[in-house]
Amino acid sequence: MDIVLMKNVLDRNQNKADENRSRLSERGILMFNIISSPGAGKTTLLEKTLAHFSGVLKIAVIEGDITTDRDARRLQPFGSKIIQINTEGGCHLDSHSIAKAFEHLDLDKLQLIMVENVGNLICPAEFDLGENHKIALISVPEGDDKPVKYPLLFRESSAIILNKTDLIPYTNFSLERFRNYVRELNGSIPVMEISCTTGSGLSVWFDWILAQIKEKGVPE
Amino acid sequence: MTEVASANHLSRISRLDLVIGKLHQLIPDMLEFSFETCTEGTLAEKCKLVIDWRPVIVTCRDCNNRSEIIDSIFICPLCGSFRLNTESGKELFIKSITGE
Ligand SMILES: Nc1nc2c(ncn2[C@@H]2O[C@H](COP(=O)(O)OP(=O)(O)OP(=O)(O)O)[C@@H](O)[C@H]2O)c(=O)[nH]1
Ligand SMILES: [Mg+2]
Ligand SMILES: [Zn+2]
Repeated sequence: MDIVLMKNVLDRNQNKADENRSRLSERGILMFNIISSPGAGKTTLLEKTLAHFSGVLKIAVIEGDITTDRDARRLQPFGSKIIQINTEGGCHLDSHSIAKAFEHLDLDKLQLIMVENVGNLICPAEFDLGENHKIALISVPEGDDKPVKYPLLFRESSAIILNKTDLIPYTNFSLERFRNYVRELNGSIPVMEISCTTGSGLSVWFDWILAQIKEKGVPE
Repeated sequence: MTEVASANHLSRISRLDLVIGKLHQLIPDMLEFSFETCTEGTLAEKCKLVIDWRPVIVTCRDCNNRSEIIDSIFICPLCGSFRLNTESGKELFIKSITGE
């Protein structure tokens, strides 16, 4: 017997993601899903971002980690609400765990939710969480060819952040090659070259966030 | 998969047909291995896995040319535009299940 299904493998995740997205959109909240390899600097970027917008924007962070709440504790001092999700070995967050995290947030009092996904460039790109923007973060020590190796992520993202540019002089990373690879993959995506250590380029990222909020019409 | 099988009163699943777009980074050997591991001890043990790999096809928003993307270069080969719509390559679904 043949049973014809035509059933999307990720249906259950997709439905919940759409639900999450409309819940946020009703309240004018923006959500970013930040995706990178382990150690590229997601938590450091969040520290800088929370510090910069402290008292200006109402931000919450959802931290996805395989185990431990170390990253969540690093973000505690900035006065934003931080929710920790432990995936217990899972290599990505899914839309159901995000919906659960919403229960711990006062959605009426927020403008922006930033999700730090589990460090991994493949699986997180597959699972829609209900975000408005996926943000691909890569760092100089990973090499300039990352975009070509992970085409789905770089196709689906709204922005690419290159972090640790302070390390370029000590590696064989070529900015020109990197920019070319990105251009070939996604010619219209904004690329922000930053260093969380020196602070270089961070203002471009902060301006980009404000522009997204403005575009969305979130009350400031 | 086993849910569908019990809803249709199947006692064994002998074949699973999947459609996967090449934009997903699935490696055929790894997929087969993990499938074997997951199905061990279920209705689908030793089930045959048949995958229909779909190419990455885009159409150009500037010149309407349709082309296949190879080597991850998302640039229209005809006019050099970046403004492409992905038509296929993102598929990920179960086409059918065969059993008895
Ligand atoms: N040189 C340099 N180091 C940086 C920069 N940004 C972050 N780091 C360092 O990189 C290391 C990893 O940073 P994290 O922010 O913890 O990275 P992460 O992506 O959150 O890591 P996981 O959550 O474990 O996946 C830390 O030691 C940071 O201090 C940078 O711009 N330059
Ligand atoms: Mg982290
Ligand atoms: Zn064209």
